Amino acid sequence: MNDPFSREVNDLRSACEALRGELARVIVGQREALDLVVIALLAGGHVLLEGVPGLGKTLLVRTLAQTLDLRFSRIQFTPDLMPADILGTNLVVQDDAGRRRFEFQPGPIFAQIVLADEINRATPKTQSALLEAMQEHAVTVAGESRRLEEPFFVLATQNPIEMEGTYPLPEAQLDRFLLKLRVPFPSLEDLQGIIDRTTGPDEPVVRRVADGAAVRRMQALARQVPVAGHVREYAARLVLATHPESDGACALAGRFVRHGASPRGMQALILAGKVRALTLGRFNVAIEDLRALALPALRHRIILNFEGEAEGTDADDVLRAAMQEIEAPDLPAGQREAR
Amino acid sequence: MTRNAETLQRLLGRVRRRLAFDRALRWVARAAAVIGWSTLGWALVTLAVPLWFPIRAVAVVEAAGLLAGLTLLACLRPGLLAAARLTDRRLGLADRLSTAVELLAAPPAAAVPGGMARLQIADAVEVAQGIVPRAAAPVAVPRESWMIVACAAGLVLWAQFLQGWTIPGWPAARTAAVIHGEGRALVTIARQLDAAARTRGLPEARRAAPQLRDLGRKLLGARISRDDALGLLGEATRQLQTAQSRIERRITTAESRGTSGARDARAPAIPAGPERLQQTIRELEALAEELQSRSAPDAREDLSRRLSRLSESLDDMNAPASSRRSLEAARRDVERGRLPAASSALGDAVSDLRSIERMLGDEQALGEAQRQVQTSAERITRGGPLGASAARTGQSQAEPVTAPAAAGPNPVTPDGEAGAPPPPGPNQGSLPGEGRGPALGAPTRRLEATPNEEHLTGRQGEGPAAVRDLLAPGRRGSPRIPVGPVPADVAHENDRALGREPIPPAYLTVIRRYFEALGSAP
Repeated sequence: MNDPFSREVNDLRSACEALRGELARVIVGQREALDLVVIALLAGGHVLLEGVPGLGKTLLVRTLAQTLDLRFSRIQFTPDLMPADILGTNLVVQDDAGRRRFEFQPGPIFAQIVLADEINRATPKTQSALLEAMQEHAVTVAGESRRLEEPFFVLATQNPIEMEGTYPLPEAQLDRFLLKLRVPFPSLEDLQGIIDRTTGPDEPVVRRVADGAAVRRMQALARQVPVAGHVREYAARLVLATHPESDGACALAGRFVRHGASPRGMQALILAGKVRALTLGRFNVAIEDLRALALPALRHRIILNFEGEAEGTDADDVLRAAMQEIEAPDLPAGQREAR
Repeated sequence: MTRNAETLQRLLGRVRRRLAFDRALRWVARAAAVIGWSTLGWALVTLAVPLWFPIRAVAVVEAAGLLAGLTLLACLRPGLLAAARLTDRRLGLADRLSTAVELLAAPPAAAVPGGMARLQIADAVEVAQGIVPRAAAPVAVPRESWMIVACAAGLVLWAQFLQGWTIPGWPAARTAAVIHGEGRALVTIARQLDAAARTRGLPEARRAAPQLRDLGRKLLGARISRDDALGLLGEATRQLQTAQSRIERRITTAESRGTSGARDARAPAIPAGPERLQQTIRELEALAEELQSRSAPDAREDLSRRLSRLSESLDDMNAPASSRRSLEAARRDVERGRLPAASSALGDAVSDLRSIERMLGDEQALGEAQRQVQTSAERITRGGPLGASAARTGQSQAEPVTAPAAAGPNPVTPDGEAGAPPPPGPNQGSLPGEGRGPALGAPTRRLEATPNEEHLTGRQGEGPAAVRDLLAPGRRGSPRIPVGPVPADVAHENDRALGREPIPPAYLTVIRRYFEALGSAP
């Protein structure tokens, strides 16, 4: 396989490996989170990182920005943060001739990697300022739409425990995130590694492994991965299984879910699956890719009903149940018995 | 078709064959399990109900059907995509093969941009090269195998130990009782046939007797089904019919021997029956003796007249032409005074008639045997599909076995157990081989009726004939009416009437002997 296309795929794998390696120099453990962040980056989506304080969420994003030759900005969300603080605003400026004019002062959103730290601390109004940017990769200020530079990658963090003074993200906002990652607490070994790596005299230094153009190429390449019919069917059935009103709803969804995952969730599943397949050395999306990505890609798109909340059911439980019930698309007629 | 497509198709082809065979095996195993259980159930039901169950034919048909199904299903291979998906799933190939098959099958316009699709197909082909068809499509022993083995073992055990056994009190048991009763009856008939054949020198009957006895013993076997019994009886009937036909041909040949044309069309063979034939033979023998002692001319005339009468009698009887010619020759020799030649011609005639007599006896004996076999078959058949009336028929058919076959008033216990030895009484020992001792039983009970002392006087054939029904107890002493020879047509009609009556064959023989004895009485 010496054709250019094959080389591009190999470059992508190498870049992914290098990216993971550089991230791992700083971040101890959190292997899954690292992989999924890279997948989201190459799929052209955004990531919502959820975890208790101190797990390295912000560090992870900062390190990612350091490994990529991209413009990085960090927005610390607070209740008094205004949309203009994010998007930018028109300021009256005076030129050398003394004439005054409006000039757009871009906000921190005009970067390629944006860290929206503690996003749930801002008001919904401010949170909504991100909607257009995340979906359209553009912002509209004073009636003028401005494109954001590609690749545009938003990583938001939120603390699931501290609810005082926070504003849960609206469903529309959540739906814009490709993946929602739950950053787990480190294991004993990882904690020891963190001690060693962060309390010594030397700070780990990361190198840049890719620039914006490379990331865009990789994103374009990932979109070319073919998806078989039965894999597409599986993704669609999985999404339908989370809808309580659909015929294919799983039992748990029928009981505890108010709204199931959106079609955007299915798109996220397939896109992330394509990247995962490439990073694993395959040229096709497999059902196992979808199963591996179902929780991060769909968990934030499922809204539980009151009974589900009261029972302490999680969206992950619903998704696991759905995957268990669907298992795999049926084989063509006449072959089911041969299973 | 590209090279990759061909390679992929070839590699998956082996998997498809194995998948088809495995699927066929599973379906056939399921079918075999169902059929096996049904067959076993069928076999077990025959213990209670006399159902038709030809186990060998059933086994052959089932095996042939399953084999045909296996072959047919094995030819129906799964599609390429299905095989690819199964292989992906079983070997953990992450949907490589199925995606490649889809890409290859997709129309060019719908194909994924060439580069990645090409890489994917190449990757799938590379993976497929390492596929072991046995691992991708293992031909496993179906889960139903234990059922098939269990059913087969059950059927073998049934065939070895249970076939023919019945549950007491159920219809099958009643049918079995009927079959056994008929078997005992056939053994008895065979014994009588053999005795009669030995006494009267009947070769065909002597040959048929052991067959009949063997048939009876087979029916007596503990494990014979109704269908087997009917089959055996049918076969025996066919053999007896064949033997009868052989005898008839011989009789026809004997009757037409010496004649130039076809046989006399006036009547069937020996219409007068064996009794008249025997009487004629005896008369001829008596004449032959007289020929040697009486040589006077007047005596010769008397002899000639008697020979003429006998010749006419033979004509009436439609006796063989050779015997009639011999008799005519004897008559001419007597008239001419050549008594030795006449005696020799008479001997030839007697010999011919004796031969005919033996053949007739053979035919009669085989006819009786055949009737008995058919009666047995009818009784077994009348048992009905559920053997409803089997008990009744079993009771009735046991009579010929238990009843003594000798003449004389002998009480036959109607509810006597089938197969039991004859009760002690005056007829004990009258059946060949059935006697148990010299002691006589109690006298037979007589009819409780008022004796009617009236009786006819005069000579037979003189005066007006009077017919009245006599009802009187039997009494010792000689009959008051002199016994005379029974006319041939009467004897024949009597014989036919006896044959029509539902009289057990053993009794038929006794009755016939009784009348023969009467006929031969001086």
